Amino acid sequence: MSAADFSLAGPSAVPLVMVLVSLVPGTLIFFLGEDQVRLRSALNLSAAVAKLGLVALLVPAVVDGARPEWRAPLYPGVDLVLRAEPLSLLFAGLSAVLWLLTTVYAIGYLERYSHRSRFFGFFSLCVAATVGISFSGNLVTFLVFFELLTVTTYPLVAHWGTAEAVRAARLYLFYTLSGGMSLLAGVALLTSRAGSVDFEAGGAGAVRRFAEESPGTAVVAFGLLVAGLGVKAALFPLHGWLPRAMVAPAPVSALLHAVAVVKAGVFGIVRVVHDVYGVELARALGVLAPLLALACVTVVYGSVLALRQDDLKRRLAYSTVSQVSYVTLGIAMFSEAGAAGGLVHLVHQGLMKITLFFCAGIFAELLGVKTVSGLAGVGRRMPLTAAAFTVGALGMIGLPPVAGFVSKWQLGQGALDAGRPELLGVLLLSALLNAAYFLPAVCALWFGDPADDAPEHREEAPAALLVPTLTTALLSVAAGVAAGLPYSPLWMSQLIADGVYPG
Amino acid sequence: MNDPSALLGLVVLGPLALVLVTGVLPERWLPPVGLAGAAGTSAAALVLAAHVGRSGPVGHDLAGWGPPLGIVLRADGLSALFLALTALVGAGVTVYAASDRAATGDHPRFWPLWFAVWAGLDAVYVAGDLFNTYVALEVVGLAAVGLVALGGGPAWGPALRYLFVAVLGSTLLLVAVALVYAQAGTLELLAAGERLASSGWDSRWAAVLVVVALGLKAALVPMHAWLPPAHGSAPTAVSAVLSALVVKAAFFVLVRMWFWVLGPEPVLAVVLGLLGALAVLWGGVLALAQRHLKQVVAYSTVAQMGYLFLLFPLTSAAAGDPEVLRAAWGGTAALVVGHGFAKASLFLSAGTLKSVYGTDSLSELARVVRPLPSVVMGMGVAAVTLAGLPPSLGFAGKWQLVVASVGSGQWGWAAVPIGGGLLSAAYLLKPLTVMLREPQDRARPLPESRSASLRVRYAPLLLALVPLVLGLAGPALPDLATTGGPPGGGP
Repeated sequence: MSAADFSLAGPSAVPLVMVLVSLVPGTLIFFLGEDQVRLRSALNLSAAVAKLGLVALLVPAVVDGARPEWRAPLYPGVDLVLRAEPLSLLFAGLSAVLWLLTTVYAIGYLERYSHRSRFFGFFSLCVAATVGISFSGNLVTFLVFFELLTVTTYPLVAHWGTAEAVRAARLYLFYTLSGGMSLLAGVALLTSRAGSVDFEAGGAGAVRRFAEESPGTAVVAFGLLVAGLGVKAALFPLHGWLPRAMVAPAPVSALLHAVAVVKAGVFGIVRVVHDVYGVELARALGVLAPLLALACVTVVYGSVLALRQDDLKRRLAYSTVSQVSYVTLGIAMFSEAGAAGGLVHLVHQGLMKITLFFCAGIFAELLGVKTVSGLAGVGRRMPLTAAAFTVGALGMIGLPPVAGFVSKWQLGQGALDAGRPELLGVLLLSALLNAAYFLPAVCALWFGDPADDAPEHREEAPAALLVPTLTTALLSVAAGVAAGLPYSPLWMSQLIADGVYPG
Repeated sequence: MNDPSALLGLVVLGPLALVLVTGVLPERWLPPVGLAGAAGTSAAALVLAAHVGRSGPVGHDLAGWGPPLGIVLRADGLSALFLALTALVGAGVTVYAASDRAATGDHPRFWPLWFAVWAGLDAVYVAGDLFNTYVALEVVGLAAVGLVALGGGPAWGPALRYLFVAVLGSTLLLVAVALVYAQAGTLELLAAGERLASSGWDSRWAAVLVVVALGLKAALVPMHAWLPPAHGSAPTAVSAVLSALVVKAAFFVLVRMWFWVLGPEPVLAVVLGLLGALAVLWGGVLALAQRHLKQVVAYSTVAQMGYLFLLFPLTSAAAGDPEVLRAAWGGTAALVVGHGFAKASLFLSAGTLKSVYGTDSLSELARVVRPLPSVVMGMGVAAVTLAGLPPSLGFAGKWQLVVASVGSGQWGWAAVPIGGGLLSAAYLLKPLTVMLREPQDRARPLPESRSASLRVRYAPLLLALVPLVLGLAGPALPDLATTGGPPGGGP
């Protein structure tokens, strides 16, 4: 192989390597004994660090215009395509950062429990599927990894093996498999009528030609795709599995809500709107308006339901239902600023929500506190964890300088650009509701009177749990403060939105 | 080997010789001899399949006598596909059977009967004329009945019923073969097909006969009732072979008769597709209702066989569109292979659980302390293939069938693989849930004396991993399946 060949083959294999970096250790971990803690942790952590390093190396190259791509024939007429471009790096970057932190957290969290090889094996496979989703270069590849994610998360949700966990996991599986059916039908429809659909910023040419010939079928395909993706994205009325899936171990909930399942669904919606149909075509077909309406309903509905939960994790779950639809909202409002706001919320919500789930896991595991009312006075015993929780909660409400503010500002600006000031009403209403369900928890933490029998002394969580929590809280603030700098999530999102809305 | 056509004889005569050898050897020699014999037979079949994949169909006249007098052996892509499946799954099951006496019904007659089935299967796949096809299928059927009967007292009833079905099917097939001979004047597959096509013979009734004969043997709904008791009560290794391989032979003969000899019948094709769809639905519902693991797996075979019958309406609706035809054949090939491996694995897993815990009742298994992780993992991986989830061959097959349906404008057929996946997930999740749950009250510890050997614990997992990985192998399978494709229906 000559040097020139290598320089061509080297970068093009990078997306594949990214997938393998989580896939191979995940597979190896299954064969490790339960007691080989060190080896397992070393494998996990080195893979996570390697992945983070690869993403960091890729970002500048891709921003400069490189599009490393790897493809191999998969089925007749269809290739398996992995390609790195800005949107895939935004999502892969998020998952790389959070995977590393969640792995550290999970090692600390599961220390005392059994079935750890199984857990970490599926955990890595789940991340491999997420990476595959982010680098997928066409619809079929996306579908393959999207379904793989379903398969690998099921054992994680069922992990505790209790009757409740197994029931919730079954419900989860049926929701997601049904979504997968719809997605499969949509992808097959588009692929067999329009040809293999490669993602293209601004919309795939094949789909544009197909929609000109038969707009009706194109709308049907869009409906099938979004219905399929909407299940994982917890779009109303397909969100029923999400609160139930809260029985999973805390690191799983954190990952499910912040990067893996919910985000994969909404990332798919972004792909379909931006890179399959293209915003112009989607608007011309009249499919953006219903999507926007659905997103608005979900944003408000999720918040209202969150308000009614006393169980902390369930409250967070409904909050996710609401917050993730901000992304869809931004995509569907048809303005460049709004799209950037939606995309950046993909990252910001991930950082803030994972912080909240890490905290909820610490409260439940160390103090046995699982409800909002039970948080009273906890701030005195765990000031650092409580501070992290506060950062996440304030960010969710949208207070500066936390990242959530940047997302909402951007979305609001997009609503004005799109000439839809009524969307500001939705954003404000949601912010009020967010405040209504997050502030009581924060107040209870700091100002509530602890139960009489609660011990007074400080007892912060062990470092393995605390450090990831504080890191994500700091990142949430940093993403907000540094939003104007190059390579910040906002900067990347604006770059992506710029490619989707040319001119 | 310089002359690959000699392999055509070897893949049949090899296992046939092993029938004799294992029939006379003392019992303690059987497992090692069986293993060595299986390795040789598999190697020959795989070399042959690879050769066909590389350089196209091969033919051979046994003992130098050409048609119409001699025995003609031929192997095209479809033969190669089934030969390779039989070789690999057969080898896996043999390893398992050699490691666990209980898996063979604890009976030395397992070995000659199993090699008779293997010889018969290979003979079906390389037969160049209809009479040999008939004889080979008869050998497979009778030996399979014998294998079921190894299950002891409770298996004798189902075995007898299986015998009736097998004999009835064979008789009907023989009548159809006689009709073809009367009309075409030859039994050589390709020649008979050409003559029938040029004579303009109305082959409709012969086709109905063939469909009923082979539908019985392939357990196509509503002719399926014999299968679950027979496959469910047989010893472990036998169940695996029957479900993974033996029913496929009947499907293979149906495909041969349909595309090569009689020519497609559009109306009958739709009937076959509808029966297949009904099988997916009804087999799935019945599987869901079972309380014993082996019965769940057996009913799942009824359901999974249903997908294969979509080949007939999809090819007939294709109207010669090469892409649709390729997808229909490729999808069917992927499902045949995927189901073969996954089903063998699942039956072996069920057998391991049964031999370790002494039961395959789902409610009893729920009370067992520490399930065997490799076995549960194997069940899970096999379930991924059977439910048609990526990256497995099950998904590859499902995808191609859906594309073939949409591409030919026959939307309705797409609902079968799409909806069937959810139903499969439902009935496979039931046993998996039992194994994933922490043991309930009154948990029983794993009996020390009956712990399973390494090979018994890992053979099912290895078998299950094959279709999972093969799903990513690209278009190799569709290419092989359509090498030297059928005169009228191929791409």
